[in-house]
Amino acid sequence: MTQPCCSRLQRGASPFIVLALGWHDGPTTGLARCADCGQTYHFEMLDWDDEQSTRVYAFAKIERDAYARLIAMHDEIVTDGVAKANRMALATRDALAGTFGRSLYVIADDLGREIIACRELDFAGWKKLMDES
Amino acid sequence: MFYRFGQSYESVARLTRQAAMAEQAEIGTLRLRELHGVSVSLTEPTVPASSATRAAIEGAGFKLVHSPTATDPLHHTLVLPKPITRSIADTFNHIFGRSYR
Repeated sequence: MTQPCCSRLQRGASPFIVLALGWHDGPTTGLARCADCGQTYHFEMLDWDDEQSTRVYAFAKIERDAYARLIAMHDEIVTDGVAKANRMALATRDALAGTFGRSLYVIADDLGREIIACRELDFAGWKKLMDES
Repeated sequence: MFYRFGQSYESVARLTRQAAMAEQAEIGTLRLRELHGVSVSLTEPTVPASSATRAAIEGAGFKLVHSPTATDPLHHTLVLPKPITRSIADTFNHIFGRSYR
């Protein structure tokens, strides 16, 4: 059986190791790393179903250094969670400043376990989609 | 005031599923674990939501734990008993003004 990888993402077992940064009955934003190829991402929830269980996420590639900095920051044990939240929000903004938008869209109930559907969509893909509608 | 997304009645099954997911996760910047509960926030959402006061929530016997996240420093977890019974679900929904249809 082939190891799942984000480079050939398909319905089935998730290749992602997930760290939730935002949470509302499940991850709303966070970091993901492909367990196979090591590609690092920031993801953000775009929408959810009526049960708020099945969620659509948009993934943006981020540099491994930026990912590592965010993980290290997350791993800090603190007593002031609000101050840490503010620091992490700034660090996330900086990490995303070095990327060029989202290109991978994923539907999942549990991002770290199973992918329900996925699609890579760049500008040309979006334009084609919009032109067809 | 504590806000929770949505306005419809939340079933035992749904609350159980969401509380279990939270219990298995590490939540927020304080990396809190084993919180069997659901998300509420002092941040007023721009989407349809229901709300309850701290007094109403705690008066009904539920505990609130401040679990700030990187995207919502005012996120809290409303801790629910295990197992979640129909009576608990009804009380939870009542204090958030959600009625069974």
